[in-house]
Amino acid sequence: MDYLATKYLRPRKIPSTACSGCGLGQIHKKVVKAIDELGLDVGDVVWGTGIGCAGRQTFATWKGDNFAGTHGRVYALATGLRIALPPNKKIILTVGDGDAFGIGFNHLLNCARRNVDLTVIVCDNLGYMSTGGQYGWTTPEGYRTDSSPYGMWEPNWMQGGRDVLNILREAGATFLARHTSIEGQEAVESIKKAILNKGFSLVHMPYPCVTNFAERALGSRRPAVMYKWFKERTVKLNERVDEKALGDIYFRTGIYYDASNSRPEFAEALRNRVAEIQRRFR
Amino acid sequence: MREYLNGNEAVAHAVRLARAEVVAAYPITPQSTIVEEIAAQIARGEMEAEYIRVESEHAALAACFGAAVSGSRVFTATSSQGLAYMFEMLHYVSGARIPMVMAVANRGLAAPWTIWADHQDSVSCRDTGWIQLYVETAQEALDTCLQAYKIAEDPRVLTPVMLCLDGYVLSHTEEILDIPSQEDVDRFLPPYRPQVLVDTRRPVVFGVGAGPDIYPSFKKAQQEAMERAKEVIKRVDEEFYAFFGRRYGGLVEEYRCHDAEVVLVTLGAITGTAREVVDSLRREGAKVGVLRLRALRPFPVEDLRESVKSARVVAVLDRNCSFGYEGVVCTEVKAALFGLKQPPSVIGFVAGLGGQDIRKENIEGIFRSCFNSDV
Ligand SMILES: Cc1ncc(C[n+]2csc(CCOP(=O)(O)OP(=O)(O)O)c2C)c(N)n1
Ligand code: SF4
Ligand SMILES: [Mg+2]
Repeated sequence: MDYLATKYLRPRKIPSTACSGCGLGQIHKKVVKAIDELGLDVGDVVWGTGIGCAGRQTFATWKGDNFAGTHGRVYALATGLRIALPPNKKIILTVGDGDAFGIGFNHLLNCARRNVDLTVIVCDNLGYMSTGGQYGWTTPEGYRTDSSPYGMWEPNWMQGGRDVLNILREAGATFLARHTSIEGQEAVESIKKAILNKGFSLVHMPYPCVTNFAERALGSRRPAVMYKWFKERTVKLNERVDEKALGDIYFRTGIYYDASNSRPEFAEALRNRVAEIQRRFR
Repeated sequence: MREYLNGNEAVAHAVRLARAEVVAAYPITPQSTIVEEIAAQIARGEMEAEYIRVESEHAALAACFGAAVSGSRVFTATSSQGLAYMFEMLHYVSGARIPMVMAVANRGLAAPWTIWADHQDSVSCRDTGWIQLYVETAQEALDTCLQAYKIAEDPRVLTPVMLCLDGYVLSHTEEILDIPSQEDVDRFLPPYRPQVLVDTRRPVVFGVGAGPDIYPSFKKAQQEAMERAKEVIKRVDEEFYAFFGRRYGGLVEEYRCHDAEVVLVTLGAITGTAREVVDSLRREGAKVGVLRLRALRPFPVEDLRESVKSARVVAVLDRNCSFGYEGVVCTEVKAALFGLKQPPSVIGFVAGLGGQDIRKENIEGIFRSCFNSDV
């Protein structure tokens, strides 16, 4: 077994239950690698998950403490945990796009507003994949899914001048990045920065779902087809591209916004505030 | 027309035949294929309706509420966590007396996570003011869905109906179904004529507040409507029979109960297995029967009492548990039989949680233990 897996993951959970060819493992590995490169120990991190493929395939893989939330609620759960945990413990969440940007978006935005010290890794397979491949909040316009057999027609959070990371930035997030799972060390570096920020960090990570997304959207389950599709659409933030020629969704990758450690962190601010009020009564 | 379809497809056909006009839903296993099939029917031009994919189950029921108050016939479907997330809206819809139909493909609740069948999800919503009908077959799911609109929209009832079908066992299992013709369904179920609706020419208010002086009268009206629903459910089942030649006993369905010493009370799909056990035990000479509750709300007190008249023991099979007490149906049955001159003893069995298989041997064991019990 891989060195990282032996050190940080539960042997019983390997190999993963994800479909073969799924890109989720690439994200999972990058998160563990980032943890390792930061010199963190099993006891330094509490790992939380949402549900769906993203949630269930990473759930309880971590050798240390794990928790799973209900669909969309893990951000609220993690806020409670953040208040209770010692400030030096890291909370890392691996969640789905439907979970974060759909049913749980309200909670996510409020975590950003409060600047709760969490690292949210949104494992984005471009829709609701564990329930059979329905379209979601990042499904590219025009693409076929199980619930959009004639093409995704609803506006998403990614195209038409919208970017979900802009919304999160406006809401108060202090670290934001985007990387596709096929990227290498640059993604690991961003995840490390996300973990080091004492505040709300989110890394948006689109990845290939070969079973449900690729099958309908690209007409093939062959991993090579989906990976090629991703490769063509992974564009560095500062890279020049002929957007017109692309004429389709693409993922601008890199660090979107880094205001690490610039705003008070919620749990700490809360503790200080309470202490200050209590002093007034003494 | 006869087709080979599963329970979810059966419900989708019923929703089409009922001419539902607005459908709002959020994906969840094992419900998702109901609304997917509905969307496909709309796309093929077989159904005249708007289908919206919303951002949560809470929003699904809210959207249905909005569409219903403007006079549309609406539909939604969910399971388990999704139903739990709808809880606030469940009361909101029933309290506002909005007739609508929701299918629940029954599934256990987290934690721990499961996608398999039990009745904990819908049974936990027993007190939300919805009529709850549990079906045994895919055919019954189709038929009951049509009946459900007629029941819900009856001016004496005006109460939403939850149509509960066991996840997988019914939702994903094919059987040969008889699909009624649109002409027949149109005669059985005329268009929805709301009594009050949002109509800009005659302004009305929905979602009012009520002080302690009038709030109880709203709740009393709801309770009375539920009581009246008992008769309406029976009558609609008979009317359905006159049209389509199938009926399901109204509120309860008896099987060999007339002289039974031990009657097993069930909900949903497991009844089929129980019938087989009854047949084999009857061949041995044991007087046993099954009573399937089709309605959990309104609770069929009178029918239940009648059906277990000859029984010494009533066994209750619950695929749910009210933690700290027992299976919910068991408590209900005990309460319904309380006060009879010579009440049978009631023994509860909780089984089949989170998709655990209930086999013939298990049900046989239940019957045998009841015969051996000297209560
Ligand atoms: C309240 C609630 N509604 C619906 C579901 C059903 N459900 C399970 S996984 C899932 C898909 C989630 O999508 P996403 O977060 O993108 O995860 P993916 O499976 O795509 O990784 C849904 C809707 C649920 N568990 N809870
Ligand atoms: S369904 Fe898609 S996202 Fe889920 S495990 Fe399979 S390939 Fe991965
Ligand atoms: Mg997803």
